[in-house]
Amino acid sequence: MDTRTDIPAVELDGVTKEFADFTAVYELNLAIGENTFFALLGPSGCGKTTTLRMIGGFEDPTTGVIRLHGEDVTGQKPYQRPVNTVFQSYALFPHLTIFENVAFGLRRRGVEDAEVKRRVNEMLELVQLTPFIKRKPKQLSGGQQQRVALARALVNHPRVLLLDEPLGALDLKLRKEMQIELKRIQQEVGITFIHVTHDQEEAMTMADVIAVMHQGRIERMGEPTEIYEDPRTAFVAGFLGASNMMSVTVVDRGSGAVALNGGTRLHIDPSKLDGGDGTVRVGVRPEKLRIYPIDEVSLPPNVLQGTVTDASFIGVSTHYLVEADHIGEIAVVAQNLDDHHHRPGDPVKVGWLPQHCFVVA
Amino acid sequence: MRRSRSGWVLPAYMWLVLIYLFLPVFVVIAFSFNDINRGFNVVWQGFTIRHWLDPFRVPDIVESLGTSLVIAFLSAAVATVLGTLIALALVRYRFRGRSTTNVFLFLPMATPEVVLGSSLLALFITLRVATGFWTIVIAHILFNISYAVVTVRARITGFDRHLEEAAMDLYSDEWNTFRRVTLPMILPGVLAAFMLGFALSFDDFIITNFNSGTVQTWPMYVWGASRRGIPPQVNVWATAIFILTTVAMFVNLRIQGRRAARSADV
Repeated sequence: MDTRTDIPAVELDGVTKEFADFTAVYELNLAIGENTFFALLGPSGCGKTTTLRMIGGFEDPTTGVIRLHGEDVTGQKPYQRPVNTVFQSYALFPHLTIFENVAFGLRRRGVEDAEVKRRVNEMLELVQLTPFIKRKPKQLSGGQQQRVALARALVNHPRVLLLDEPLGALDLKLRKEMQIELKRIQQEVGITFIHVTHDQEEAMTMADVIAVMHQGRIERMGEPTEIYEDPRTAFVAGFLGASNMMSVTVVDRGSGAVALNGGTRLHIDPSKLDGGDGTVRVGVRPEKLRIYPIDEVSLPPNVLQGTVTDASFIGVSTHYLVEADHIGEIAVVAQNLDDHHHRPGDPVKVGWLPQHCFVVA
Repeated sequence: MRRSRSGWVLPAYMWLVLIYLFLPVFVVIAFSFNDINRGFNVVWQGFTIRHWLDPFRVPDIVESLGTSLVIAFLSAAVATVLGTLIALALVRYRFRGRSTTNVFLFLPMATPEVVLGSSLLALFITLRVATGFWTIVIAHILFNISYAVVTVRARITGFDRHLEEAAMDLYSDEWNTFRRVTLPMILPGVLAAFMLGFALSFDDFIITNFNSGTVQTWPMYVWGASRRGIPPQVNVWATAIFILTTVAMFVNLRIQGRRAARSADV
């Protein structure tokens, strides 16, 4: 998606947010394209919610400019901005019925009664809550309240929808369902969603683009596969899933040859070695590793030897821990394709392909 | 076995407490039917509904009752508005003098009424303000504010701030947010503050007595009358107020009960 030629839906330009005793967001530059499902991902305290609140108008940036579709909205009140928010706590009005909750925004904008009725009913149908129209929020389950909050925001046809950890309070099964549901709705209504979450699986399931935030900065931004396969920093690598990290010395940059402490040669994609000199940190994801019997002869270019210290069978896969020479314990996730199971104490070989290695700063 | 042996203790205790609480009230009610004309209404002379048929017989009673009701309404209304705003500020904002305000708010509740009343009188004299109706109102607003703040603040604490942000997000400016979301949410607290203030003002004697000038409130009339014999019409009015309050309370309970039942009916 090319956001350089089109005007981005949301644009943050050098945005910093300082609170009394700490800086929540530091010099943030960000452009989010039209109709994108965008996820702001990071641990608690990384500044993702503050960023969202600044876009919504609930916090003013200390410095910097926020634009919505090219228009400078910095300093505008929330009610002046063409965005709507789904709050983490849902923030449904407890004294109003479901219908009046959803109608709230339309009524404030002076939409006439018949039109309010039509649009609210249409929206409640979209989120499958028509039978609950006369109830109060407290009489609904968590998942239903969540959908009311979504309907209450979407009924206003915002150009950007902000979602602050909207699935955090739901149980796992419902969360999975709502992830698919949210993605479906986003594609149906075709507006920009900005979704704040600390759950990397949730972000990867739904988002077109993910920005991983850490200590007030965006560490890595891109499509889910891109940032998962090449996280570039140790923090992103760790946050987006498990990985085996090792320090290597560059032997030949042209061919991508590197050496471990004990002298074992490994090979990595030379294009990933740019700038890295002397010692670099490389990583490889557990599911990229394959585990072989010690006498296996047909092996990939990168091979380590070791001893199985732990094997746990979890159905779809088996998780091994292998104590490898010069590295320590490495994790391997093996698909249960054959019935060859390695037991703790077995000597094994672990191998992988050069392109599955990534280099972190 | 244990149950039957000790089964009568708790009910007996309960009845003793109830009798202790209500005996004075029943005496007041009973003596509104006492067949006397003048003097001290303390010895039972026989049953009559004469006084109930003629409650306006003593003009001072009616006038002082009216004065008290107006003062109670005014002071409770003003104190509730001010108290609600103060409570909102105290819960929502961090500002200079916030903790000092908290301390000062407790002072009128902690200070003995005699001290508060006499100090106020001293202040009015110093400022050369003639005491009367409005000085009573001012004095009652003074102590009502404290109770209003405490009552409303209890309601605001634990109020999800995101509700107001949600209203702002849905195109409500500050005033609309207050009117459509904040006020409806804290309304039970606000109404409670008003009723509490009304009762406290209506009931007050000590502070009023210092600052009333020539105006006579209902408690002051009763106090004065008690020295030469309280007319049975006072009992009539007191009984009427008691019944009215009790009925209002039961209606309120019924409404709340029905509302709770409706909420539970999912």
